[in-house]
Amino acid sequence: MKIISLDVLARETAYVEAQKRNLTASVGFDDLAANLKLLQSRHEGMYAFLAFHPTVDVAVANYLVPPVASSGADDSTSSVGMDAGADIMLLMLSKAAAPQARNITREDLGVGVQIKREAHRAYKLASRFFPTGRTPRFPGLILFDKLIAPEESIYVFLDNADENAVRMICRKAFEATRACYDPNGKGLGKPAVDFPRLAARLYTLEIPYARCGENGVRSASLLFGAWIVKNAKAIVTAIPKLVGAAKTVATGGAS
Amino acid sequence: MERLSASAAFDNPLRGIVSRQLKQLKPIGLMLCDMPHVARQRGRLEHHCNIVEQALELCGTASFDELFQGHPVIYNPSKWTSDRLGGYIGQDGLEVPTDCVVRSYGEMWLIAARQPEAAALHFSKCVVWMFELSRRNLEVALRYFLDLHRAGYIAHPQVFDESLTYFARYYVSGTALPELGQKSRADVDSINSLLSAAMRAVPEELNDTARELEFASVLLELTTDDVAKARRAASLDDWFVHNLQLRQPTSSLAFAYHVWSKRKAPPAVLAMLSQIEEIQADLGAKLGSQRMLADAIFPVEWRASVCVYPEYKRVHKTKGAALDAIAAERFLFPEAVRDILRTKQLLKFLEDGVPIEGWERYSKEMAVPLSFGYGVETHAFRSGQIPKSQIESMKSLAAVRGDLDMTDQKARHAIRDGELAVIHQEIPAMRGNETDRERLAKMGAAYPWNALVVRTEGIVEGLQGRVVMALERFIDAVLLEPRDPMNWGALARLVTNNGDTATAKKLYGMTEITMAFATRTK
Repeated sequence: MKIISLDVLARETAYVEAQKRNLTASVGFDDLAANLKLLQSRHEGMYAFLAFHPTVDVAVANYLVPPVASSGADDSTSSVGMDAGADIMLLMLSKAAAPQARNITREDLGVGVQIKREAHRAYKLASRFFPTGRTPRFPGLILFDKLIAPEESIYVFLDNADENAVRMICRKAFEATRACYDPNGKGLGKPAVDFPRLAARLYTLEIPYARCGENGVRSASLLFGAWIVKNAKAIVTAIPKLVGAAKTVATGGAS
Repeated sequence: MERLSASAAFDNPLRGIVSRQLKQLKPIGLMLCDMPHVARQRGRLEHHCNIVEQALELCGTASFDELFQGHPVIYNPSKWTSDRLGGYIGQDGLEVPTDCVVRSYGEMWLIAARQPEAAALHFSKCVVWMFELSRRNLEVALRYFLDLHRAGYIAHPQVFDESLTYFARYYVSGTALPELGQKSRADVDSINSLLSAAMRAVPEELNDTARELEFASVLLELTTDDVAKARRAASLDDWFVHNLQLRQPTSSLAFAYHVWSKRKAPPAVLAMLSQIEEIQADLGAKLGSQRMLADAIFPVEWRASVCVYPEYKRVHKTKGAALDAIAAERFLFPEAVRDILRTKQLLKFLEDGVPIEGWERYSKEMAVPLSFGYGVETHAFRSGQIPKSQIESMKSLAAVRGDLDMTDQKARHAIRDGELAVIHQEIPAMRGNETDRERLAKMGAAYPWNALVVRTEGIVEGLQGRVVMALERFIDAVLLEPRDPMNWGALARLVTNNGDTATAKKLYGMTEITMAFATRTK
């Protein structure tokens, strides 16, 4: 799977949007907050953030980058980019920046290895959605609707048994999200995901999830934008794989 | 007189020459693909391929087969032993002897030179066949096509563009000919008719943007990997080859960028396309300026390829982090020498060159490929700048003769031609004394790829009894100018003197063969 740094992605999006080519390329488009806003308006779909600890939540790490021993150094076996698809922008923390799209490595995942689980940056972000003290069980996948100020979100618990279980849950969650995606969105003319429907769907699929209350979303939306801007250099997005996605869905489940 | 040691490098000079010539096939093809003037090189290409094939035959083809294990290959119309149309040697039971591989190179080049459209059809056919064979796996087929290009089979940019467009149309239109995957080399006629019937049915305008985006994104992903590889290049030769390999794919993607930047596409794909478009612009400028410099008798070395950087340096002065961003995202800058750009002033940089092993100049192995690409004979590549004063005096000399509008470029050419004439005149008169050797060293410094100078150096070494040195020089001379029978002859004589009559016989054979070629082409 390939990744690219969120700040670079946002900057490049602003550059593309400008519809001109400069000698110094995208250098100069350095208003990160504005770039992210633009990125949000260009991305028609959902966002997902993987909250996990690289050494504690090994199953999630293995899902992102299959261990070399079993896959034989070729990390193309990682199906994350394909699972998420183009409609869901998958974000995660990475140790090294990816100024150009490149393959994700095991080292990238090693953010905050020494930090204990609850103090990890990824978890702190996840906790923002649950300010009342009902901190969710980790690791998890946050599905949310807006990059800067999310209005709705759902937290999906990732079973930590093994990477196949994680893959299965993620795939089902992504699939459910896509199924609830309404390009005309609530009559507002803006594409959106119907969150109550998504919750119901996850429930029928027997995927454990949590919806943070109204307070949670409000507090998250206040803090989230700032958090993203502050951490943009450390966040990478998975490059969606546009080919073969249909094939994966057809075979389904764990590979 | 010392005898040749039995060390592996020297036990069979002909073998060494052939294996180095085989490795040159890739850069030669890539250089030809950089600019559409392969037609002008037709005669020389034919000549070169013949020599390689003859030498290979004398050496025994089978002993080189290991060299091409895993190498991509495409069938050639005249000499092919497999029932497959192409693939990777040693994979899926594809066995291709080395002489067939050489023939594939030669024929692909010559067809491209004569009829680029025909060559494009040949590549398109094999790529579509691969696509159907792999049960319609776009990644496998595109990777195969790019691998053929990277290996130097595609000698014309038009061939690259047309084959890629053909395959893109096949894919985007959703045309399916699953029976194609079952066909073998013997059914080429039926493949041709099936394909042409199917492609005629494809409408001029295609509207399946989802499939179009799929196609572009796979090409994008494969090319992005190559960009990363290019950045990690180990030497100037390696880096240059990577640059050439990226030239065509990035051009196609730059085109895709301009189409897709006005359409809806996932931001990540657009961002990647945007970065590739930038790299392509830089790459074109860099390769183009190097070509111009080669035309104008500037030394073809590292410095020649950095003349587009002053602008970035200016940016660097004002914005510190910006240069890192540019180096990482925009231009193709090798990691091995990136620090130099950051720390050195450009002028100093151009004066000093790159004090890193392997990066200052191209190795001798690149002489023939560069010579094909730039249409400059190997003996005429000059190392070192011609001083301004010399150019001025050449111009004033011309003015005295009445030629008032001599340009710098013309003056450079005149100076070089004068120097080469002197070399040709002085060398036969040399007797190998101290002054001669000094003179020779100077010539060699100015024209390091001049086979006549290199061969003469070998003779001088031989007269001094340094046989190993002499042998090295003679081998270099053959590699620099394999068409010259004198180079083969010198090597043959040395090997004879050392008692290796079997190899000597083959080398004399090459002398005669090149002699026959030389007289025929003249």
